Amino acid sequence: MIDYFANPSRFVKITSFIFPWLSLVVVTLFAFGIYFALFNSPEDIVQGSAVRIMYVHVPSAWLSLFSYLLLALCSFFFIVWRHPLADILSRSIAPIGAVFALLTLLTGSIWGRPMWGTWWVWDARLTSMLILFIFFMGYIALSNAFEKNERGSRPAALLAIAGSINLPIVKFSVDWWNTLHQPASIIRTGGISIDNSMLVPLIIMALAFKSFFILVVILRSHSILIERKIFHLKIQGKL
Amino acid sequence: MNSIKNEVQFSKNSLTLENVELSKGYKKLFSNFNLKFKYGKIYLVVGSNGIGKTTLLKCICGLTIPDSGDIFWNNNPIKSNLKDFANDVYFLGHSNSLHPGLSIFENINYLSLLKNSHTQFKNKNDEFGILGLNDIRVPELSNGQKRRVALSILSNCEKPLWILDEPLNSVDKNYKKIFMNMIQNHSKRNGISIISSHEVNDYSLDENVIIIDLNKI
Amino acid sequence: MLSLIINELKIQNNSLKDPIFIICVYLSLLIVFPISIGTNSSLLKEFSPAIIWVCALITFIASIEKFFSIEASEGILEQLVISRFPLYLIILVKVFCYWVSVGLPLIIIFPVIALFLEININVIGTICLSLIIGTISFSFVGILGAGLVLGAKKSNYIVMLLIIPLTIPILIFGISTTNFALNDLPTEATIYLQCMALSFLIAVVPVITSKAIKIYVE
Repeated sequence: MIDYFANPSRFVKITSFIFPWLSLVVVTLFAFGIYFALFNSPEDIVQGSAVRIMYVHVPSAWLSLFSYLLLALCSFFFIVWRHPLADILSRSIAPIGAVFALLTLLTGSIWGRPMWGTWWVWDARLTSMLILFIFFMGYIALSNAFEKNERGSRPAALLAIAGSINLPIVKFSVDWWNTLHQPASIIRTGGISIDNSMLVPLIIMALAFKSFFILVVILRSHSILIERKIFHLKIQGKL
Repeated sequence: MNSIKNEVQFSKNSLTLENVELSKGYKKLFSNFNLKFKYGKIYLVVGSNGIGKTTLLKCICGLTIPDSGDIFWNNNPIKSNLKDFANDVYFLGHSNSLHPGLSIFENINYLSLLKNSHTQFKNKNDEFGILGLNDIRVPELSNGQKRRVALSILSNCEKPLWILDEPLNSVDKNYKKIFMNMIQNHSKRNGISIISSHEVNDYSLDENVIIIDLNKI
Repeated sequence: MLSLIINELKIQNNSLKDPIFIICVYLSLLIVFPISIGTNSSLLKEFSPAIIWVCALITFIASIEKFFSIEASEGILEQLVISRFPLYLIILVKVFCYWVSVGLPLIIIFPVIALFLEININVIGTICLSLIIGTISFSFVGILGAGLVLGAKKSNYIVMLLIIPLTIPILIFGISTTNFALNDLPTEATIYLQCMALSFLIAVVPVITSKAIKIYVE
């Protein structure tokens, strides 16, 4: 077993150093982002002010997908190289990804109410996001389902790998099944199709969300590390 | 293909543990553990409960991967050719590896199939007296009877390396003697036996038997 | 190899997975739907593909948690890991035998069930083929789920939670095939899609499940 007091403590040192600066970055980005999103960006002709929800909805969606990829990557590292830090990062990312997926669903639903007249509609994007949310919950459930908490790390990592391999198929099948959602207007082969004045706040908010994500991952991984250290010390009878 | 039991010598194998570090959960059990197991010897691994006998045995089998270090079977690391190693080893764990859904003979055939052993189970090989148990369903056997069945399967599969985890659990005294004869026979055929036990008195100690006391490591 | 399959079949069929029992489970699930929907015939016709597939899914997945439990507690998994057969091959055999004991009875009884749901006789063949591919996929996903929760103590509904996201593509493709068949549309494309999903599973599931078993055995 790799000694717990080597690499992870270096991780804690580095991340503790970054933390205050990162918080500053997050606050600044959010300040700018919210200002631009709520006050300085144009209204949509059809949707009016309600389009501003996009500034929360789209970054959350990007972030939940991003955290899923990160989860799969960390799980792969954990299975192949057995580095305990990879497991700690995976466990930190999972609930955050779940929350962002939920946020995407909620904001999508709120956005959809004035647009489509219903609280929920079964289109490809929202359904995939719902499946992603369930998938995160499954990961969290599995990683905590064992008596010895760490025993669950490796099956959960295997689940993340299996899910990540299957996710393109799920996405493809759901897309193929139904499309009602508006086609992607940022990532398209023709190039960016929304105006700069909307794009800039969107990107600022996306960056703000991403840095917030890193912040929270750092916080959570610290707390998991400390939990494990305490447990380790208790087992050795030093506490 | 029926091979004649108890007459064929195994080839002169060796099992080496090099710089093995092993831990169970948070406890580090072994570090820089070096050991060489020679053919024709019986190794008794003893120690108090929880000291790591089962973990060590499982590591030697290839079931548990050590944190670092290598295990060599005839100078080949078992990591890279698990299949060849699996062909030469028989592991008997705490539980008897008997499926309750199959009869005794079906279990014997199933395990022999898994272990690539072609010896037919004959009457004269029934040292542990299990032929008489054939009518009883496996779930209704007592612990001692199940252990005897497992030991019979062990003696039926002609493998040079035996790794046995507390094989004499719940076994009666007269069968213990039969078991001792069995492993002495095995070592005469150049086989290696690695046995863990917390009752050293069960085993007659002669020059073949080497005791590995984990309390002292 | 053949003896491996025979042994596995003996094991699985001795543990109460009687074909008649399976058919009764499927039928009882099936009955729930018309009762819930009402005897409105057109609604039933619209829902019939979904009903067939969902009931099949539940029949496969309902008790999959216990798939490895006997082998795990009796120490047989250890023997499988250090046996002469590679573990992924053993898992393939187990999946096949699971399908034979649970899926095959359903496929055989399907023409009778088609009568209950007023399905046209000439499309039964296509739907059966689609069901075969789909149920084999369910078996794979089920065994993957069972492998992942090996050793979990608090594993009451967890397997369902894990498996359902992975079964969504199978359901989508399968129900589409059934839908197309019922509406006399060409079903080749969707059958190919189903085969694609299945081949994916054949490649991925044995590897991951064997890794999960090795983790359990450690």
